[in-house]
Amino acid sequence: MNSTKPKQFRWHFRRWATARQWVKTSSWSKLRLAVAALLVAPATASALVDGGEEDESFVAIHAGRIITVSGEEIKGGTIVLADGKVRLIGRDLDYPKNAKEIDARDQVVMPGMIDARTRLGLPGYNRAGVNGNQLAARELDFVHLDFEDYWRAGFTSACVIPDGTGAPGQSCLIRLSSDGAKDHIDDAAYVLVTMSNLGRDKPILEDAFKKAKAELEKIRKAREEWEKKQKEKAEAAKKAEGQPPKPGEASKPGEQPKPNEPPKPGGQAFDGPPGPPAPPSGGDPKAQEKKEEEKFTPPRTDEHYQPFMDLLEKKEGAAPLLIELAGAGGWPHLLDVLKPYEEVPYSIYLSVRPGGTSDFLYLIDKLKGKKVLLPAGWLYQPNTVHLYTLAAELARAGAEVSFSPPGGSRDDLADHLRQAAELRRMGMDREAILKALTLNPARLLGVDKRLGSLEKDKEGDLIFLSGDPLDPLTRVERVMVLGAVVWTAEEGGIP
Amino acid sequence: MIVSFALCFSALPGLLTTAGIPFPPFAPFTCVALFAPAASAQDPPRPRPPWPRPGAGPQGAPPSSTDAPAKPAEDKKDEEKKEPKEEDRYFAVVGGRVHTVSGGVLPHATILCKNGAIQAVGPGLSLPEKTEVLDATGHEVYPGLVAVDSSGIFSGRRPDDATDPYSLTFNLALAVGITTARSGNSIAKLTFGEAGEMTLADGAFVDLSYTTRSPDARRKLRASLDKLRQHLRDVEAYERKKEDDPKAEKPDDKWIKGNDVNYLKLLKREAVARISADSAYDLLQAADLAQQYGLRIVVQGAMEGWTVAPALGRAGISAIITPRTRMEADESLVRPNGSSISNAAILTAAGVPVAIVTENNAISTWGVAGQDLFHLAMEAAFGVRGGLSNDQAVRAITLDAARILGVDHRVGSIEPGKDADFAIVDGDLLHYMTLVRWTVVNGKIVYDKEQSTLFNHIRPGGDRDAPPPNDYWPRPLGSGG
Repeated sequence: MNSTKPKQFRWHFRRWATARQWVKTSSWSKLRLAVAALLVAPATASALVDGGEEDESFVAIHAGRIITVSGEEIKGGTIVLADGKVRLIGRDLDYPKNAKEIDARDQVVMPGMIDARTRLGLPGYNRAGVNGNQLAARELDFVHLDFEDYWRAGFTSACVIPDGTGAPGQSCLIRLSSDGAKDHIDDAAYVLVTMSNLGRDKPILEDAFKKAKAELEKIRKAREEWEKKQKEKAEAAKKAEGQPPKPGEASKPGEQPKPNEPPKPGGQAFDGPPGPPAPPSGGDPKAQEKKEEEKFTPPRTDEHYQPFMDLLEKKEGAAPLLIELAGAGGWPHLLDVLKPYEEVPYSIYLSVRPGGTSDFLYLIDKLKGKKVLLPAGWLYQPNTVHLYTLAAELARAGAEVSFSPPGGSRDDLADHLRQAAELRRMGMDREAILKALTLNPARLLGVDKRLGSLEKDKEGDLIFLSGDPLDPLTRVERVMVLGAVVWTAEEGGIP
Repeated sequence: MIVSFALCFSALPGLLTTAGIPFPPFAPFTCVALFAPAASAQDPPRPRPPWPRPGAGPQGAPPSSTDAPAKPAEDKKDEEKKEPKEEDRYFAVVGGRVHTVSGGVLPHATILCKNGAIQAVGPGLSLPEKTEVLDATGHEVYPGLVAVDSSGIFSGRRPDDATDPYSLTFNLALAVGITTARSGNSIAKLTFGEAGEMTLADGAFVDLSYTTRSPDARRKLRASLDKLRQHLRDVEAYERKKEDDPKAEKPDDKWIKGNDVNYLKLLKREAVARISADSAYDLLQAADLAQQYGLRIVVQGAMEGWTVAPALGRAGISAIITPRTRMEADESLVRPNGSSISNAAILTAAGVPVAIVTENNAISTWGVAGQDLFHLAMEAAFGVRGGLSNDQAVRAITLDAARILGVDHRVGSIEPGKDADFAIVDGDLLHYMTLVRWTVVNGKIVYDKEQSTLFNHIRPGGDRDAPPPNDYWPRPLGSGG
């Protein structure tokens, strides 16, 4: 309940705390007060029971060090959250007395990490082909998930992908809160496309775009026909103005135009629901004209291709693509597929295993300005025993690099920060790494106005670490989601 | 005298045709009416189009002369669309000895390429601004090698479908100078790092099975060819009748399906047939087939071709051979048989265009060393061992190979109008100590020996002044810091 009445009531209550003041109050005010009390009594009662945090709950975190990612690091500062959102960050801040205080003076606070591509431990299945209409969100409806491993690794949000190859569907970004997977931030964060086995996947992607284009053509043609019909109807109506309707015309079904015109295909051109139904014979022609002036009903199109159609039309809010590449060879083929289509927004996922071999070094110069998601870690150059840091090279070449653990197993998740620390040891820029862990995944998912760094008005998903995030001995000690602590590490446990 | 007059007249069509004059169609009837020659009635000679290019039809234009700069090939326009600024991309190779293959060797010539096609070749060319210059002083510039048979380089039904243009095999093939290869029935270029414009042509050969081991197949093939040839005659008769009798019926061609479609193309000389034949008898049968039906035939193997070379030459057959193939002669036979190292030389002397391939058409590190695709130039050198001249040996892996595949309008020699594909080597291509220094495809350097660690450490010349080998393959990255 967020009304101002209970607050006002409490303020008045404090104001009349002394008996003398009570006596001084006019009887009219007292009457008003009594009525107000009766009306809001239940709400007030509950507010008092909860300790007065109903409307704007404040949380004040005193941290040993705050890593904002987008700004400066602050030593010995405070973060004030209001209603789960960041309100103030700094030192020596003013905040309401009823704020919940959290003492983190021996901890480092940073934004919670976002896993931009994960299965979240859900069971797998095999889905192939173009299935753009499938949502990973539907898999989360009735399942109870335990986010212990994710919290322990420092994640506060995860983007769940559908399983399968080709274009298996759209991913769902959820917040890892304590009541399971119910807090969906975005049900259609991106459309996943795999390009791992070129012989199988390239034709599927080509087909997806071709069919989407064909469906758009179908709609366009149907719209043109409808507009043509409307124009003719308008002309017919103009000509027939003032003339009484002939009996023959009234009895004709709505689709048929004037008798001297060739009959149009009418319902046959449309796959979906036909136009307005034919009025009964002898009906009022004016009524049937009104029905046909309804909005243009587009023909039914294949839902599987809907996201691709939205992308080709450049619709507002259309989910971009995330294209998974298994090797450098996928990139020229991807360019070949996208060549006829202008500016389809997409990000790239590089499927590598940290410590394994990868030939993505060929693409370092080519991914400038692109959003690239990949696991953190070093890799071997193919057919050699020479290491290279793909992420560092990409960041240096101007790509927007984000990190995501390669698998969903507990080890992969726990290793995530340690692999980032390895990259720091091998010379990657510290800021680039911190951005890649937090802000860049948020940008890739399009939620960088809400998540990814500690700034005013961003949501308060934080993690409390025992030391610097890029120190291999650091553990995650506390996880806070929207201002509420959802997990605390056990004392003295193995990290 | 009457007989000789008849022979004269029946030879006249042949003479006029070779002189290039289209023979009037009604003349043979005159022949038959006046002299009734003893031989069976011959079909009117069909106009012979130039060597067919798969997928392009018989009207492909031959490349222009060496002197006139030609406009860049139409296919290169796609590359311009890719680049954000619509400037022309110039690339030049200067200072090297240019082996044009088609026009001799030019010492100290410059090759100027525009947008991936050769624009001009010659000494002292002035280069436009912003030309990427490759200084090949001290090196020999050959056209990129053409592998008539390959495997493991391209994958997928068509090379553009699923080939990984960064794979190790791709790199190795470029490291040995191969820039065009046939994979399956598609001919494609090794464009490193690019997909979508690899394929040069889609239908290389029509495979025919025509050996002694399957007399039934031979019979069926001849029957189909006879039927189709009759159909062609009917169509020609209809074309002539049509002018006088508008009600004439066009001969039905709906029964031409499946293989018959390919055979019809062969008869019209729009496609090339490939027959695997090694024994002399099979080769003579193939020659006979070529002459009887007027087909363009390529023979794969031709191990005993050296015994029947004149017949093959007369039939206009081309051969794809491996000089080092060995089969002991059967001493019980009177006629010469078995393999010969001089196969290539003897066939070439008889006028048979020869392309050289290796025993193993993949790049492999196992099997018999030195017999895989990596040693294409060595295979040609063994042809020289058998009597081929150096020039002819180089032709066998460049221009003649491209001609047999039907892509000699794009690759195979260094002439204006052709693609800018070069293999720049540090010595004579056929010498065993020669290594490729640069490979250029479509006017871009796709292999640089000193930038790659594949072979940078192999320096037969003992180059002491060069920097130490670069340790990082495929490319050196920014230092780890």
